[in-house]
Amino acid sequence: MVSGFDHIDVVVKDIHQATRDYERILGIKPTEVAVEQEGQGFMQSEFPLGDSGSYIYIVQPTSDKYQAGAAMKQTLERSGEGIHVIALTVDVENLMEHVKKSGEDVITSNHSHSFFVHPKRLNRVLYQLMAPRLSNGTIKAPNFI
Amino acid sequence: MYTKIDHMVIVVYDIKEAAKDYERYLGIAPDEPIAEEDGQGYLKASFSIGETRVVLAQPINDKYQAGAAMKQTLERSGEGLHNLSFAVDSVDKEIERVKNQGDNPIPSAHSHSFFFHPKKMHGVLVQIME
Repeated sequence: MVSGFDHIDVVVKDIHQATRDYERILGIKPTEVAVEQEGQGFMQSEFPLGDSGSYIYIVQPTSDKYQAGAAMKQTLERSGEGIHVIALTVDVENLMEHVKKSGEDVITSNHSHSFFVHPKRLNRVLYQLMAPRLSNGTIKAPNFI
Repeated sequence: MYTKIDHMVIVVYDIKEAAKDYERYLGIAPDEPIAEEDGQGYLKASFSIGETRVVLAQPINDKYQAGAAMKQTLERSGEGLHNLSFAVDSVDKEIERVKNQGDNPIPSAHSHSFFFHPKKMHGVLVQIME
């Protein structure tokens, strides 16, 4: 059911500084720098990893009115900078059913066809389980009811 | 040249319980039975996911670099992500590049790889390997 790894989010306090540090220290190039994610409450820098189809995202919350921005802000306040989420590609419907059967609530995403398992359940790691990307690389929009 | 994330290590208190949780919530089972990493001081359960691996690790002996570092993570911040490991074409070239720009790579005692301190990487311990 889990088919691949899509991205990780590293949540930071100063996205410009962090993007420069990742670029300089790791010697990798961002394809986007500090782009505000409309209606999600955070800025994002994107580092593709070779041709693996996976990414490192550096993120900085800008508004906690939104689900994503609020969750990132909470991570920063609780544990400081570091990994916010690990996103795996899955068959979303099947896995969601599997998780619900095991008696757990799933946290659905407002922004993509995906859901989250609470970090309490998985050793303090927040997992996002998302549909594979569309052929143009974009993330599939939500269609939960 | 960075090619991919080779693996991510998540440090846990009870690896058997953690592996069960991964099966329960994510529907995935370890590639091999839980076993001790020889001469590294931790128990390991590895899950292949596409081209990468999620590795659960429980430190059991802090005489070794890996086990000691994992124990420190557990004591400082509890369970959670311990490190991200990136695959590169050439570790030697990367060591040269980072030394040239004045950054100190931390050598690995266990493999042909090195680390960047989480202070430099905004809270993430980064390993560079081939």
